Amino acid sequence: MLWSQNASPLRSRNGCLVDLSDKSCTFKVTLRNFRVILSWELKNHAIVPDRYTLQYTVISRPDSVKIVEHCSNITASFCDLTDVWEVLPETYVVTVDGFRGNTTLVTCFIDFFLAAFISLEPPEFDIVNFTDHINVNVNFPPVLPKILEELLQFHLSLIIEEQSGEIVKKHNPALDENVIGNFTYVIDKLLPNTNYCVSVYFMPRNLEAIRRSPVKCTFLQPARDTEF
Amino acid sequence: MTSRCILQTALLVYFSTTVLAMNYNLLRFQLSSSSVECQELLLQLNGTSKDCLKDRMNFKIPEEIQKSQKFQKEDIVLVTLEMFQKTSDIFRRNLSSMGWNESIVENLLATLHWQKEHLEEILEDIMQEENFTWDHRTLLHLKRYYLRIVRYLKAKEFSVCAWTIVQAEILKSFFFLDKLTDSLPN
Repeated sequence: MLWSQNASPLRSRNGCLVDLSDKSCTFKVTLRNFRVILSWELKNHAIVPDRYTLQYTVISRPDSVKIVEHCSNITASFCDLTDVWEVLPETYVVTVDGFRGNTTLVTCFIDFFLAAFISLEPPEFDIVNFTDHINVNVNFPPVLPKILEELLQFHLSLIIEEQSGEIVKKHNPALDENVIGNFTYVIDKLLPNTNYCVSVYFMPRNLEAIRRSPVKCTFLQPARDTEF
Repeated sequence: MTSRCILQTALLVYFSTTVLAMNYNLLRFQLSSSSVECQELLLQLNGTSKDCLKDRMNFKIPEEIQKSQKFQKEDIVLVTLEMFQKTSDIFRRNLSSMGWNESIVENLLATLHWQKEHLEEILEDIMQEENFTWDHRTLLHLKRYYLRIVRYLKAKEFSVCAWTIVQAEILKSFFFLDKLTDSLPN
């Protein structure tokens, strides 16, 4: 939607190319471990600021530009905005100034519709195997930030993929809007003495590119013979 | 004879309900696909809000739409029709200042038009087969919302910044349209 010219595409969707960069920086917005992280990279690597300050506003209301306190005079080139941005269907207008000493070396500008551009990294998970089933544990945060509620309620589904040999099955556990803490999904009716691999990812509603987790594999123990 | 009539009537009602029930499943899929298509096309329309912050306006999308209030399925058809229709009307206006890719705009209008026509057919079926009370209040709020957008464009003389702001607003409105669509019954 709102992008600057002279940009190189970050990703494609159904053959259409979209972008999050201006002439000075490339931006990414990512859901990582249930946190919304905006990161940036200068295109000209010869410019090396030692500090950054991020400001933002929104398109849908004539609000003033806001400085994000925990993203002012920072050395890192990313900012956690989970508790700052509460609205998913919004176009955020972001400025990042890069400084060295008292000199502004670079100003990067971007605007983007958050719901369309957030990249969903898979959540961390672990698996516990039993004879004929596998427990898949995903740790949700103890308190869901508002923007995460909106993401989970509507914008994305959790998919658990189970593979054995050539057979892949997808499970789409229903996520309660109040899902917090340890979430366990049971993949049942499995065959003992068989190897299974599990991967977890978020499926965005708008069918954006999926980012799968690394697979975790386990060999289910043989069933015990209980008959005499 | 009476039993036969009752059976025939029951079968007619069953199949009518079944066909309309199937239409809602198909409609949900179609609406979702059209909405995704429209959002993709809107995102392809280039531009930047860099010099446009002074032109921002709160168009106040109706709260019932924003908060995904529970609607009857028939009202969802009416509301989504209004949204596709009004969006189409907006993008048929003076776009000359934008320099947007004409084929993208044409594809957007074609998608909006196709979905609007299909919704009109569904609405005709609903009006013939069912008795219910329309939610006129929400429709009125929606009409006023789109009227605010059109008035804004006219006041700003269809400037580049005005279209950039409206583009973002319409994109947002499709997000809420998706939520409405999701609430159509199975």
